[in-house]
Amino acid sequence: MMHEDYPVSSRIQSFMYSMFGWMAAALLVSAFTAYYVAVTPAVFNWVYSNTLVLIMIFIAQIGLVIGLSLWLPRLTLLTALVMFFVYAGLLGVTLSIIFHLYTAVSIFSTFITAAGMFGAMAIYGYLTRADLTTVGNISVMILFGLIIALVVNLFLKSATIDLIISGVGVVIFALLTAYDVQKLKQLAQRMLAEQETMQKVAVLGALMLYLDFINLFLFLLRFMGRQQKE
Amino acid sequence: MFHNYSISERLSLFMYGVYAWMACALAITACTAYSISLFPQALEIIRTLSLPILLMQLGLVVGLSWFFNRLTLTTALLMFLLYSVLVGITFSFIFYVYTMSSIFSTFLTTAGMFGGMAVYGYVTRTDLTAIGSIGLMMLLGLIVGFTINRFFDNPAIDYMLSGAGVLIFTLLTAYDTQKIKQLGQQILMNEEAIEPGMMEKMTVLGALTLYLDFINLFLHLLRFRGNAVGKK
Repeated sequence: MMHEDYPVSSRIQSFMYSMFGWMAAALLVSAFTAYYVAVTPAVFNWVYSNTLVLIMIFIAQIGLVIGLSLWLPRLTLLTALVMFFVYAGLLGVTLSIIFHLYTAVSIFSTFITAAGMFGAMAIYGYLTRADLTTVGNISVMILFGLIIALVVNLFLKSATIDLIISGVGVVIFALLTAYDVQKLKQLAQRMLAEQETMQKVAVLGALMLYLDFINLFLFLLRFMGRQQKE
Repeated sequence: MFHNYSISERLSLFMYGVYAWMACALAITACTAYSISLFPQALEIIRTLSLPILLMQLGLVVGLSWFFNRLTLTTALLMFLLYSVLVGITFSFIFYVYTMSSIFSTFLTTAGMFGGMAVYGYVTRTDLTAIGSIGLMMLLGLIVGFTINRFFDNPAIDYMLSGAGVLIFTLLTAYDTQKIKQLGQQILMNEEAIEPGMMEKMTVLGALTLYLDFINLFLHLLRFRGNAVGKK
């Protein structure tokens, strides 16, 4: 195709642009959905007074992530994008609860902080010549340990432990962001020949970074967010 | 220069080492958890000490994986076994939350699933790298769901997330086994370039990885199908 005339570096750049573009678009969808549901009592009450609706939304979320990552080679670009944005919308619906738990100011400032951290780590992961594979492996291992602690604390219900887990989670997801960006860049370098696949991989990469960002944001919110007084 | 036979033989020795340390750590965790649960007073003490214990756990995993290259085999092993004791201490509470028979049958189920996936990951010629990336992606999604549900505290959603967790850690077990095997092969192929003793130390890191997979699989399975004490 005509893309083959471009030099290699600019094609990697265009891959990264479309990936971060999809990710940012999905974040906007989630943010608007969350805000819309939170300020519209009719919708909010319908979702939250109805356990069945909430459960269906969660099932759909799990199904979409599994489906997207498992069947990506068989999906068309359009289907993959639609699934990604439906996922972002549904996640926004469940995220609306935070507007009722945390103050608007602290949600906003946490979002800005998360965006700043994410941006810095993404740029680092893209530019650095250091190999981040070890950092990635270590972070995943710590993440496994963290999930155990999280589940155990469901039984213990200690607020201090929760705070520490959230702090560690923030660090892990910041490191994973840098690692994922480097991994996706390397993936793009290896896949330059296949334009069609590359566009779909951009969607999967966007989903991965989107999840990194949401996790970073949520752990940061639990760590530094100010709760509304009941 | 390469003796294929001896390499494959030494590769199985490497894998035996990994599984031996892992099984050893699991046995320590199980014994610690069970013996502490026999003393109700100990449980109260542990509840008050849960914060430093959890901090030490996180510190040990961070330390082991971060400073791995600088540790000696003995230090790495001691840290790993200490970690398994600490996990056992925090796990003693599950004997109060779940019935004995459901803990036992969940353990057996976990061991069966884990064993099956480990054999599959070791034997298969399929490259599981894609499965591993997918598993990790799903794990990220799971943590989002998990964190959000902590705001709702909905038991039905919790139940589903545990089921998804079981699926994810089953996939990751197969992937991790294959990765550890490949790592062992790489070390054996470039033995001259790698410092002596690296192989033995690697068994500890491999064992920690699989141990974490096993414990996560067990916990999610327990939450998925375990019978809570006091319920029929």
